Amino acid sequence: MSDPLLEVDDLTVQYETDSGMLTATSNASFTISEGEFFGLAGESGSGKSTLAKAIIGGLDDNGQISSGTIKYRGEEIQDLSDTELSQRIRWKEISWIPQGAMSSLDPLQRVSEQALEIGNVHTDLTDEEIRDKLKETFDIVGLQESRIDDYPHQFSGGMQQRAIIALALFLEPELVIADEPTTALDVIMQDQIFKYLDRLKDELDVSLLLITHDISVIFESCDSVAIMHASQIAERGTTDAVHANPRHPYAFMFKEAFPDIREPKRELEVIEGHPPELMGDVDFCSFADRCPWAAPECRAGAPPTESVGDDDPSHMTACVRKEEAYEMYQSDTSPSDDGGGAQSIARMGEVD
Amino acid sequence: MDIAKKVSDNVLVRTISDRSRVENIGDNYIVRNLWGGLRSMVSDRMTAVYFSILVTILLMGVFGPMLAPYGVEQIHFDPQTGEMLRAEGPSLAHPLGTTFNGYDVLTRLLIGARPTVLTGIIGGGMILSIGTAIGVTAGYVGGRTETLLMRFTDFVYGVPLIPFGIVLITFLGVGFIPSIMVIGLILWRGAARVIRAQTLKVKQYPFVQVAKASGASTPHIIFKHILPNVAPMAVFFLSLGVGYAIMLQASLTFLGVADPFIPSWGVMIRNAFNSGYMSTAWWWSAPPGLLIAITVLSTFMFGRGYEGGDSETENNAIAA
Amino acid sequence: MSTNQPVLEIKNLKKYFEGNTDIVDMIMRREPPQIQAVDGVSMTLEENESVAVIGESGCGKSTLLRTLIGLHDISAGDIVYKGTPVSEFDKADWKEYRRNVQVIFQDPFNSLNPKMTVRESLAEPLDIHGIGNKEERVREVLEQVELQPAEKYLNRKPTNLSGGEKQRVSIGRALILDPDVILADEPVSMLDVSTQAAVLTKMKELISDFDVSMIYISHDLSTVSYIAETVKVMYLGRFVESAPTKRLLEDPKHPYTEALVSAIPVPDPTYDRERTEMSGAPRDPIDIGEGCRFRDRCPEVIPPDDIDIDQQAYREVMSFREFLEREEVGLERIEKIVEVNERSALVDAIQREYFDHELTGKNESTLRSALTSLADGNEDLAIERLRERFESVCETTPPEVEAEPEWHVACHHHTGTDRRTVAGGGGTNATDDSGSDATGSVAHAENQ
Repeated sequence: MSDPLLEVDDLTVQYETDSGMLTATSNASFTISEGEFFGLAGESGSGKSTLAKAIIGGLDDNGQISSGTIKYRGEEIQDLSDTELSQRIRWKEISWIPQGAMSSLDPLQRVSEQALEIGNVHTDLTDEEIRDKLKETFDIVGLQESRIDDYPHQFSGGMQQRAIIALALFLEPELVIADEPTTALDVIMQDQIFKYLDRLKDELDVSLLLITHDISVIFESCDSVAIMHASQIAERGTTDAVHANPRHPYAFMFKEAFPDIREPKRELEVIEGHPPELMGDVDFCSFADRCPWAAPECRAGAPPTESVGDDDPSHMTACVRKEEAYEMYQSDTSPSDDGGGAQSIARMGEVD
Repeated sequence: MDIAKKVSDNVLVRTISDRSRVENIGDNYIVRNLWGGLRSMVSDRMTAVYFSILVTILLMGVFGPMLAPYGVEQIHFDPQTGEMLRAEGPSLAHPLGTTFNGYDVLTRLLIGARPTVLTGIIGGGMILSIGTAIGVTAGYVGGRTETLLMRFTDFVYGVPLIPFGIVLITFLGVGFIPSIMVIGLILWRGAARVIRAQTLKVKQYPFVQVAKASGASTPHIIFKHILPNVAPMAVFFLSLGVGYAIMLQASLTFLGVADPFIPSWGVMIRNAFNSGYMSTAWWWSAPPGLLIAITVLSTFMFGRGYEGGDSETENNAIAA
Repeated sequence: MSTNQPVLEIKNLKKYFEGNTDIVDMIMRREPPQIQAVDGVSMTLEENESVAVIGESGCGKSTLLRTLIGLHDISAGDIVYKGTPVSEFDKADWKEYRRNVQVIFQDPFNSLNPKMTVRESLAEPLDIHGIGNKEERVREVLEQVELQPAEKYLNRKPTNLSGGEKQRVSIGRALILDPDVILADEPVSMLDVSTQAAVLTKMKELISDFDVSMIYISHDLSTVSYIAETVKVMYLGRFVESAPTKRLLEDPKHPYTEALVSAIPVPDPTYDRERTEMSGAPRDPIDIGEGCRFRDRCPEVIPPDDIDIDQQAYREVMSFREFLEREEVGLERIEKIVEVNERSALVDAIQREYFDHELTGKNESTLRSALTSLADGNEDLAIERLRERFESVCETTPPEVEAEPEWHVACHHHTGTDRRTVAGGGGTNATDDSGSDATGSVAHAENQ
């Protein structure tokens, strides 16, 4: 994990709608290094998919990057045209596995044909070379090389997903962006896929931007994490640091909302409400209405992203109450009543 | 447990409390859906425009004969020369000129609106009702019924409209109603197929399965669940049907299948053609042709708008 | 044990579907393939009991649920509701059954009719069964699922509700008739995590307040401990293990359950969990035949006692033989894949293609001779040779046994049966008579 590969700096992405500018991402910053697995966590509506699309230039027509920069290997790419992105970046440097990717395989084309199409558009490689590369990646994801000429329907669900991963990788990009790659899969298949993703990291030194709502998977498989809530990055840092010492209320409540099979009786956290849709500039904490520790200052301005001050220099959080919130939560103090939109924290009891 | 008083196993309590009766007609399920559909669709401006055009045409159909300045078969003569005004161009007395037989074009246009509108409504109505009935039944009931109905639909697909029209006319005689029947009895086939496909889709939705599992009868499911969700597509076909019916009735008239004495717009064009004056007396053939085109276009566009404005059935995707 | 009869008893239930026949099959007059979605499931459901049925997609759990609510006809076996078998139901019995057995589906977006308001969706069950006091009951139920104030929700349509709110309405609809049994098909898996916990808690609370029994179907073992006291693990149409939730999660007995539990991500970067050993996916439930259905993927498949062989190598041999027996792999296809058809090279090529793990000694020689027969075109002889040496006890259907109180497993590791030996000339399995009737026979019911 060395040089920065992707640097997102103060990025704001918005959509033009009939009712105004909808803000999907607000002042987001994070860095992914070479060979690093980076998890982007958040509920639906948090803006994580939009962020991914912005990086790869896949925003819908009414979407725009309003401010901020995206640097790939030091070069700014947010203003590149679609053609330039296609020629230089997509599939070769950064590839993208969109959500619900299983339907992104053309059922009428053999997998090898789809690879040829991609290869011919984005590179100068010969057909033979493309097929060879595809065979290599098939091998890495555990599919038989002889099957590159099969049609998608000849693969089972989990194998289709692996075929898609193979397609995203065969041109050896430096960074793969995967949006909910295993959400629709059973747990064993999910584990199989991550086994192969691990192998990718070892053998190809690929970086991964993993976007998912399932923070268990991120804590387990990623080196770093950023947790998003309604367009803002609430907390980011190495998974070790964020797991051991979360500071943002959303970060630790979100973490506690997930079951841990080692503690099947632990009460699960419930976060009231849902992420708001935000119009225009977001100059307040988007979590304030759901936060049991919200204070008036939380609505006065966007909380500054500051270092948490522990061993991890990359561990940052955007919360004005970062010093005390977690401690209050752990000691089960009732939420403060200085004007915060506090609701009781519902807990889930055990089954007798 | 004080809540939800437990209904004993063998007795179904049947109490019709006043409160459970529909408060006012506005609450009624069907009315609300239709009205809501209209409202949401009218809010889209383009669709509202088409809707207004259709309303205008409808009003023409209703009030046309009253507004017509002259009689439909009143022959006009030049006040000075006493000659019949044959295929004369537009003038003050006759804003749209006269036909070959000296009739006032404007009059015939206004009077001809009614049969045209009737054709649309009856023809479109037949297509809608037969198509929906067959489509929903085949789709929902399935099994042999479905196979039977769908094979029958396939058969009807193979029947060519015009020859069928001619055959039917042989039995029923040339006439206005028979010409519409020809259209209605054949063209429901497209609606049936599509609505069956829609029904199959809706049938799979969990809310239908829940109703079935709860013991709902088939009529209940069809009327409360299938039809309302198939309705937008059905309305689309209704509007298509209206458009087609009008156009086809004009064609049938052209070919002599319909009654040439009832001056629907299609008949007017036919008469213009037959007289040989079609290209020269443009004031005679163009207005009805234009009106037909506008009507048909408006019905198509309105139907599309209604279906597209159906926001409720759009599933909200789990976006990130 | 309580003296009340169980609310629901499922007896060796089977649901088969007919697969599609193509033209060739029709001409050859072959029977259409049978999809054995549910293949011999038995269980009892007591009053106020919550049971979870866990399995991956394709295991038949959804078919089981649909058969239980009467959406599918039963192929074999029976369901007994409060002492009366469903096969003997008349119309009135069905009506009562349908009133008392309610269902909640997984997809919040399609579980409510988009054209109906919340009030109408909730009132529908009351309409169907002719029950009055509708407005009152609807409001009560809204209060119970915590959609308050009622006025805010009564006239709303589903498009204006969030996923969690929609599921609450579905739960309310299931409860409004005060049923005996609720069948829930992954009701929270499509909701956001922060909502899942709330909805699950609410369900649990209501289930207990209403004195309802529940069968909860899911693929997610990690939330099951919050909702059910007993877990039954389902694989390819059958229950393979059944135990109290806590104990099952701590120490599963069946290799499949173990694989499931150990594949669950642990949200802790410092915890070193090993990735799953399992490969592939469950077979298609078509023409499965006898034997343990998990044996083609089982990390602990049992080789004959008297041969010495590595577990993974053994599984390869077993799988290969089964491919041959099921005609999934034939000589022609192999030749195409390995692109060789010269006999001696062919044997090597086949071995390279299908066998990653090395064999030694007699195992190796038996394999070679079998492959040689295969290369000669004599598939039957190849199968025979492999079977003679390598046949596993797992090829007979393991009976369900009670390994511990309230803990049932269907696995030969726990049946205490004698392993098969490579007798001269293929001795039979010692357990053939005692164990190989259909799995899931209610062997444990006698333990009341």
